[in-house]
Amino acid sequence: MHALDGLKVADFTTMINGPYAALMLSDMGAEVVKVEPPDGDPWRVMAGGFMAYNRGKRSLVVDLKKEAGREIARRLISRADVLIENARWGVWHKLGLDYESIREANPNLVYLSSLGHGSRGPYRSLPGYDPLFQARSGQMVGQGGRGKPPVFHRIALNDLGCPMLGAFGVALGLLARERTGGGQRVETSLTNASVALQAGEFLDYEGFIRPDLGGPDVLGLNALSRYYQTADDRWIFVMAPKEKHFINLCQTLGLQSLTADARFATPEARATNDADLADLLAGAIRGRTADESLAALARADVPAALGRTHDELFDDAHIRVNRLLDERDHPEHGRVRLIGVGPAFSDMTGVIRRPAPMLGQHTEEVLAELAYSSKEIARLLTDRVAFKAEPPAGNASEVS
Amino acid sequence: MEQALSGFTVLDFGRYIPGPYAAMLLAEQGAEVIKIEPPGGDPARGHPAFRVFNRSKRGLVLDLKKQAGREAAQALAAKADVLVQNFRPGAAERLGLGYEALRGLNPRLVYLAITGFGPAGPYRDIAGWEPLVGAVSGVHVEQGGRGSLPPAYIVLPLSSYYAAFMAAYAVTIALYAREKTGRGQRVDISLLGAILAASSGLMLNFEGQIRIPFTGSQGVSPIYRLYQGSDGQWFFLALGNLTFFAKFALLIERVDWLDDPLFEGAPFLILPPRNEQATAMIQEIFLTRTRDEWLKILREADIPCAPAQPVETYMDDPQVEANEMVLSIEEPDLGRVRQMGVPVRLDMMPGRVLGRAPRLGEHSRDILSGLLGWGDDRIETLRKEGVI
Repeated sequence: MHALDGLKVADFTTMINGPYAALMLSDMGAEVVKVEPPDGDPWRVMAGGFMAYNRGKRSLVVDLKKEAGREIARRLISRADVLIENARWGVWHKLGLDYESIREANPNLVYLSSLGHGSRGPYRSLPGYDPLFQARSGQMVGQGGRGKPPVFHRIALNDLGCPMLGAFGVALGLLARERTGGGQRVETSLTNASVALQAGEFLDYEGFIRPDLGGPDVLGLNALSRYYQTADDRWIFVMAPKEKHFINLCQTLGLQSLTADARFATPEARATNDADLADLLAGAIRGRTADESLAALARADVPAALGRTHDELFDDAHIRVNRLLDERDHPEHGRVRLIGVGPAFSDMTGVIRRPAPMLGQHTEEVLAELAYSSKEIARLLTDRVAFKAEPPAGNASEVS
Repeated sequence: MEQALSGFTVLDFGRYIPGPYAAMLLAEQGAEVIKIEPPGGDPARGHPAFRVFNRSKRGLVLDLKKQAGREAAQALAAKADVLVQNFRPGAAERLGLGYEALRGLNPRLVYLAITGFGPAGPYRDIAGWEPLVGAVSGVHVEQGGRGSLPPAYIVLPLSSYYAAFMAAYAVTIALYAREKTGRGQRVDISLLGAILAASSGLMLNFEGQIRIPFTGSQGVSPIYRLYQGSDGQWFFLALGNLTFFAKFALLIERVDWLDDPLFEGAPFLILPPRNEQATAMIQEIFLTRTRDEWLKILREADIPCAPAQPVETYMDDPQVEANEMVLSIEEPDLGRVRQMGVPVRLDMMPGRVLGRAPRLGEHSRDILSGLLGWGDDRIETLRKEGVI
């Protein structure tokens, strides 16, 4: 069984924020229809990213600029449990699909606005790309260090955090609906996510000393919590926060003398002489391979880990045992390996119902479910109100 | 019903960030959250952020190393809707708080276990510390640029934050399922799984995959990256589609760029070495005015851009204020502490912030008498024995 079996989600979102919220519901068993414009979600140009954020869904292509297209959308919405939208503020009002306009037709709908800047405030109509929030919120300056060049985060921090919060909001809305009846509108935004992803940093009071941990080439926090380079040109992260870790670390590396060295005798002394300590540890670790050091540190109960690339994770036994990856065949891209379902439940399973859809792959099937006759469907296709998938192109690898 | 989780009781045995943050998110959607700490307190108590992750909760101290402490915890678990813990795998079982033991007492319990690396597999017993998760998950090496480049340690505790979000979602899903089945269950969230979920778009593998090449730590492409104004201040230019690129080209009177092979692959796949040349050309243009002048000009032309600024500046941002994402809580020892608001809003059931984090054991007596109906004598005995 899946938690959201039978639940119908109308997903009108594009890019990352939005699609990922619908994906989290899909992973719990919901049937998600992704509604796309005729030229598709713009993120389809990033074939990999598109698959990662849209696996499990069906694709319905409709031109919402046409009244007959909006009628299809209204019919889909009137039968849905959940609607998700992430357009610029105002776009949905113009289409007449904002919450106030549709609640009467479906009072049980849980309507998630997963916005950029939020529905209020001076910037609400501005476009909402993730790095704009990384820049404005302090995430880039925090990583780059004060007075130094800011650093761009490769993970689209807020674009992923926002839909996780949005999925939480939808789940709350569904639970409330079970308990009291009636749907409601739920809102979150990249603005909210950028704050919530700095919950411990977005903080101020009289006398607060703000840490400045970032830097252009930051390897860690201090000599006893950082990366070191190994003889085979790998990097390992070593953590020795407690006295016993420090002693074991020194012994493991053949640096026993350091434990008796006044410069490193206490945590305070070590903090003062951090650079010296880092140099000594770096020298010792540079003299051994990563495997040698990691094995010795594990025996000495000093926490340490190899810094790895994503590519190295695909065949990792731990990743496999915890089922963190999914692997399936996609009609265009062949064997695709990507991240699986996140949460694990003892009495339910997650599900990935299908690979990411081709543009308009399920248009006819979904229209039929919305009680359009085959004659009407043919008409909608001829009138270019709805669109279905073209047969796959000859050379799959060229499509992306 | 005032809030979505009104009437639900959550026992929060969490420490540091992920468990407490997940429980705080639940508290502010209406759940009654009891933070249960050992006599020495949550090890994060000394950290200022402790106040944020533990606000809107009541505090109880229980010594789980003593039999009477474990009995009190089990009595609470028998009445609770949700239990949150982020102990190392196996530790909860040793404290009498394992899922198998508790489900017998309370089959409706939703039991959340947050671990560093998951309940199984070869890395299961690695300490679930943020930097080690960053190393194992690949995010530090990927942030650093791979190959011969060193990894980049990420300053924000991202995997803890994402794990908290995912945990709040999964617990609510389990409560929703319970409405239908009448049964609770165990939910497992790992920091590793959470940070990999956040890396979904980067970590995948298929034949013919096109990857955005690493072009330095200031962005992904010449038209999607950080630039400096003439005053040395930084801002991000986000020409995320060809319409914005066209608006920009028009603004700076370089419409020839739109079909210049230099920019082929725009917006994201302008490959090396072209990207360096294009970046230099754009940077030169931006050096003609200050950052703030450019921001004004760009915004008037509907071109996405934003200043790179420190978090304290963001705390005064009108957009943050308009969305109620900054608020103040009075703490007896620190005064007014400005901090985040409630990040998810249900229109009919808005969230609530109940106030400051509890002092160690502040509500021990109230909770044991109110929730368990224990009398003064029994509570006094526990106090004397050092259990509460």
